[in-house]
Amino acid sequence: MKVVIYTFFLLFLTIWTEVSLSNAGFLVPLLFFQMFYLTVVNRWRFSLLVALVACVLVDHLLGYTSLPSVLFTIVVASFWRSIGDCSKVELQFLPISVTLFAGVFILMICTFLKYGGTIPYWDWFVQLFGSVVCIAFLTPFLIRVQDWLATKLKILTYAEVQREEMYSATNK
Amino acid sequence: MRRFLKFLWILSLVAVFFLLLLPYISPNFRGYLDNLVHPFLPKVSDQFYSTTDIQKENEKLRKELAKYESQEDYWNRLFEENKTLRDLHKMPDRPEYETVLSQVTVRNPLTGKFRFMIDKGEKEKLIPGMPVLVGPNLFGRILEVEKTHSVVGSLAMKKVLVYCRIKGTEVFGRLSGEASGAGKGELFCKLIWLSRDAELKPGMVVITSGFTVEEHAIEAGAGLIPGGIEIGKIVSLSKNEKYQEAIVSLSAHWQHFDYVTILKKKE
Repeated sequence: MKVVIYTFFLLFLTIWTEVSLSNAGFLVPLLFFQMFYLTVVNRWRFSLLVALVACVLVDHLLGYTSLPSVLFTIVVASFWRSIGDCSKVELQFLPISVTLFAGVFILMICTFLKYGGTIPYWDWFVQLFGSVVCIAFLTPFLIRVQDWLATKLKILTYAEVQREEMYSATNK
Repeated sequence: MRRFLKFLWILSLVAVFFLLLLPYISPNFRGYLDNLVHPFLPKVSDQFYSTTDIQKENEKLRKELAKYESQEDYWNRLFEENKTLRDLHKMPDRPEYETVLSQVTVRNPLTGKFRFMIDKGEKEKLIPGMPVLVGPNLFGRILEVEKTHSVVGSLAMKKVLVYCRIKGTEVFGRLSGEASGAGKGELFCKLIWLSRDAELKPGMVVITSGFTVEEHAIEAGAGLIPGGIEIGKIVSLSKNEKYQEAIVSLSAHWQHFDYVTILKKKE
């Protein structure tokens, strides 16, 4: 229950910030970052359910088709959880920014397929790189803050999730 | 003589005392000591200014600045609203329609030229298909209506149908989605089904026709748009076997507005 409340609190903050930034003319894929985080911490089944709720909301507000990008993010995050190293928070900007780059690119393709029209190449290029650079800088900070909150609530954190899993596996 | 000197000495002391007191009596005299003493004793002259007074003044000014800064955003919004209303005032009078001014609430850099949200909905009795104007120019139509908000689709969307006429002629056509050339707030749309024999040229103004005979378009709300609203200007023309096609530059820019107007038929 605690995890669900915490997740939806994060989701609310994420969507609120993303919509506010969108109104100001900045594309910052915070939702994709959040899905990456939630997938690593809570596994793909839980984040898939959260993704469905979040995508319906964001798509209605911003006119996206964000589900393909979110699904892609969940798949990559699941792999990263299994074969990557989540313990070094400062280095997480690398897998997350690469995933989000592809995620935003898929989002742009979906937007084009949905609405047609012409592609303002330069604008989209700036938005794509701007958003990825922004997320790369924000990632360590966001993970630290969210982990700090999770520690306070005594639930699993991003940095500790793999260690906890190994610990419980060896104890079995 | 000695008495006189003593009197002079006391008088000069009293005069100096009053001179020193003057800045505290009236703020108009605050600068004069500086002019008198500064060339010789700059540091001493500074002592005559009360630091507490300066701090108080500084604090007061800071408060005023904070107040004005917070008001600036409010004035900017009012300015924008005022500008929209002024533009609206220039519109021709349509007694059978009333206008609903609405603020754009959610817009996105990727999808902004196709759709956005406004803060008016079912409460204001809006219905899908109603025309949405930016200033006096048509920008799109309402696509979805919820209780507290609505979704607006721009003319760049293919499913937003608007039937047009070239101003000053009897040539009719239909706007059909975005055409190439968009950028920096400008939006270009395709105008199709123009008569092949019509003599058209770039620069001609495109306005709404106000009617349609297509049933599916009437169902989509095409008849809700009154005639004579400016849409844009023809940029280029091309011909195929049956019709002429034109690229129209929309008069309403898609990035530079925070308020839109909805035309609603009076009950």
